[in-house]
Amino acid sequence: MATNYNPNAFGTNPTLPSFAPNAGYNANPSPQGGSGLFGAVPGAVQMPNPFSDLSKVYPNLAASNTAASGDVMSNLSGILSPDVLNQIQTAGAQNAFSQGLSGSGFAGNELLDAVGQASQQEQSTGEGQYNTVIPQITQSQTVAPSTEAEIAESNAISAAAPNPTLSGLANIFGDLAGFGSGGGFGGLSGLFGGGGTSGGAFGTAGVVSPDNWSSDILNTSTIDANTDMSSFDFSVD
Amino acid sequence: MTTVPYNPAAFSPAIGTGSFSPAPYNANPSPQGGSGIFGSVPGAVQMPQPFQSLGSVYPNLPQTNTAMSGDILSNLTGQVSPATQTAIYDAGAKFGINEPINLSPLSLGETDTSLENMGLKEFSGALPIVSQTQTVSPQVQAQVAQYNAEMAAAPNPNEAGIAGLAMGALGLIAAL
Repeated sequence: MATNYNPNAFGTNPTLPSFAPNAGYNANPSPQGGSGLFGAVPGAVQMPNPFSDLSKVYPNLAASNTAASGDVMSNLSGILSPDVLNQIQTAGAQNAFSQGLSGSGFAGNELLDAVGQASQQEQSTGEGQYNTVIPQITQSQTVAPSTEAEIAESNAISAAAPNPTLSGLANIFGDLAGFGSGGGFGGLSGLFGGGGTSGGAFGTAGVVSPDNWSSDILNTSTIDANTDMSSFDFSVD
Repeated sequence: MTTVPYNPAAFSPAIGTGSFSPAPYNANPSPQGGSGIFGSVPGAVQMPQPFQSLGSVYPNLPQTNTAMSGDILSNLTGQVSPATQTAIYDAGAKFGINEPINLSPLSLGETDTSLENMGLKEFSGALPIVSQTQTVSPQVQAQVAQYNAEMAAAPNPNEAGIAGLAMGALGLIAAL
């Protein structure tokens, strides 16, 4: 006898709430009005603290790290706990019993061999745990060295940037002078940088080819924070 | 040249304490006023210290490295590790075993060759982990060094700026 399928016989499907884990993130930031006529120097970027961030959503993180470290260290040390030693001794006794032997179990050296094997196994376990735990903690709780260096470089550059207002006014003066001189010197626009790399007219490159810098840099009317310095030829002759 | 002090303690908890600053991360740093009319040369960047950073959240990192290195080295040399020897002696004392103790690899069901092979495998697995998590990659080292070299060789912004002004003034005079 055929039975018609009746979904209600099994209950209705639960209604799942709409779930958009990243819905709170504003992916469309509004444009800003800008920071005055000449702009400002970008602020220093703070170093992230992933350990702190993770701690806010994962309770007892520090205590867990300590416990994990203790467990790994204990295994690496290969020292067997009293429980394990008793287990080995008991296993020896059971083995002897099953074989119909009298006595307390393993012979002395057999027992110690078993202890040695267990110790060796614990060390191998510890090495495996180390190889798993250390990368996980590093990636989840510390800042990558490359990111640290990037932030430090960015902050150093921003901290050394000229005052945009002062340099902007000077650039206006320079442009006027260049205009007055018929542009013979190509103006002074950008000579003093503009919030990014400082070092003024001669840039911040470590090695500038004497044959190239005048043509590459001085003839460029504007060198500021947005200038792609990689476009210049800094090769050593 | 001004050296930018790299102080991981300022951003990370103290080593081994696992403590942390509750201050939220500032994703919107305020603009700065700038450094004079000509600016200055960016300071040198210090090399990151990932070992210290990891050690600040993972207690006993140096001791753990030492223990693992010792275990692996013993295997690489085909010997029963000191840790295992200690465990055997301790067990012998606990169980009152007075027989001579055999510490050869064979007593553990291994041979010196099998221990060496195990050690090589462990060594190959551990080295990249330690290297990647506790040392600065050569690429980052070179990047930092290159940046610092460029900053160290940069011209004095004040002198360069004044020279530029002088050139502008000369141009203006010439035009007049």
